[in-house]
Amino acid sequence: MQDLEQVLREEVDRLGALPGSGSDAMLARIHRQRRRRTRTAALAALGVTAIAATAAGLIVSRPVAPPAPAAPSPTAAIRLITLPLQVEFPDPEHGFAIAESCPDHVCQGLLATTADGGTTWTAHPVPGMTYRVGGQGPPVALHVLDARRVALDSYDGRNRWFTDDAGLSWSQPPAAPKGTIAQVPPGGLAWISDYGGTEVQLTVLSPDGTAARLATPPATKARFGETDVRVSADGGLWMYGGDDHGTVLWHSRNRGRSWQLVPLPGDLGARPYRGGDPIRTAQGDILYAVDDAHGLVWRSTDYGRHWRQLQVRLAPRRTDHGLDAVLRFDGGLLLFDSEQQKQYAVTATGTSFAETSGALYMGRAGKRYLRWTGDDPDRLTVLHSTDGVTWTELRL
Amino acid sequence: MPDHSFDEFVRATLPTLRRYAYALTGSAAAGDDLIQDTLVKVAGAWRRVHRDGNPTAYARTAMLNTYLSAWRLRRNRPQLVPLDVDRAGPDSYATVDLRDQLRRALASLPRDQRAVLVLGFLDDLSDDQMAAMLSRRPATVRSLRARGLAALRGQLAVQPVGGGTRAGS
Repeated sequence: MQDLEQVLREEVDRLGALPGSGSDAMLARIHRQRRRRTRTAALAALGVTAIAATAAGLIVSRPVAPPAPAAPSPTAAIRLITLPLQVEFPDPEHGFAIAESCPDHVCQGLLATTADGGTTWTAHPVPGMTYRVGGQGPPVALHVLDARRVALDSYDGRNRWFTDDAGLSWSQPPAAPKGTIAQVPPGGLAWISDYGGTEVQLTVLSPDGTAARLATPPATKARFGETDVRVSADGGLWMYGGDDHGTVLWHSRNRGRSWQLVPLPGDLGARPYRGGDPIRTAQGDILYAVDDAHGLVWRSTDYGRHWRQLQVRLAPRRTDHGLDAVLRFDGGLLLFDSEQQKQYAVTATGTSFAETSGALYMGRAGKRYLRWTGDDPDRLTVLHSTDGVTWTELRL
Repeated sequence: MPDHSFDEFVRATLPTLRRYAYALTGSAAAGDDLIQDTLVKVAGAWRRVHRDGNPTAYARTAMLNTYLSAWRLRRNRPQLVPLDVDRAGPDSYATVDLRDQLRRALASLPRDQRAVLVLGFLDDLSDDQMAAMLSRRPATVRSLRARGLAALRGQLAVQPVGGGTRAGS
């Protein structure tokens, strides 16, 4: 006769032996979660779209480090990588996207660029960025500094490819941060590089492609959060973080020389941090906070010192997710409730918050809105727009 | 700069973490979510973790802490029913019923009790080892296990495969 402990042991063994996802799929999930950027988190679940085109681009390259398969012909079909989708528009006219071409079981990583608002794109092979077919695009993170400067950092932190002429030529500066820097220089970026020890560490990427540690990161203990430090339109820096016991938002108005902890409205500060952007900071002085568990929205016009709950009655919610928002470039907010299939709009002045209709579900990729269509993740169409009304397909 | 990449670590340790995650959560889908949340944390501290020399132990502890703390608040999602369990074969209804009852009973346990039972039965860890992993006293571990088993007995009518007298309770 089987006793309880024997049955329990068998059940635990059986559960532990359930077939699961492979390491490549899990790594993709991990890197996707860590790399979520300002655009809506749902973008990370996009599939891929394959669009044939012809590669172009003059390459002036230095020798690159990792031994890799021989570079394929640049005339192979090019596809936009959408798992994860890495597209960024530093201004409405210039944009960058990660792409690849994979003839003969060897892939070449590409940086696609546009200088005409996304009407036409040019794909530039990144020297030495070759890998075998089967992954989900080149294993690099896209860091766009301005209309010409882009860094591509490998996930393992070992390599950086840098261009200061929009992909025409490339160098490989050291990827590891060297020394410390007092502030994030104008045109620079920052991201969280380590949460360990007694305080978080921030890596600063300067416009020349070199990296250093920020001398004065927020004084916070080990926490995890969004990888990238947000830079709002007014130059302010915003760093999300949190753990299983709370969510925090740090703000710097002097490029990282000092940081202030922003009080979060409602119980957002006491809720576990699950990634994403609970506070919309892109504008800087005007902030929006969205509580997707309770369906509440707040607005602040003084960098988060004071919050005003917007008076709107959302439909009763059954889940704690499915409420997403995009900060419009005019300072307004669009709120999408996918659970109730409703949408709401906040005017730029914050005086009107009402149900609306007709808005397309979208996110932001820098200075353009982004959305996609299609059910087949391998055949999605990605579109971009400056006003959320007129859309242009991202066709390489 | 780590000597070995985080990706290599994930590939090497995923089978181990998967066993724990699936046994703790009771399903592959929820287990994968737990693994993902855990490894995102590990990735954030990778430099320090790798330098300290035992990233697997760190990841396992991080997974337990994640599971025990607020992971329960992770967004709800539809529960999948594993077909390999519920598709009964000839003369196996008793096994299916028993597993179903046990799975439900396990799911109803407080997380610390379930963690102690899973750790104990999955890898035959001692009370001291579990106490170290869970940051609890060995006496607390023993108490959690006793209470967990008592709760299961209270909910289950454990039968031998193929029928027989009721045990437990």
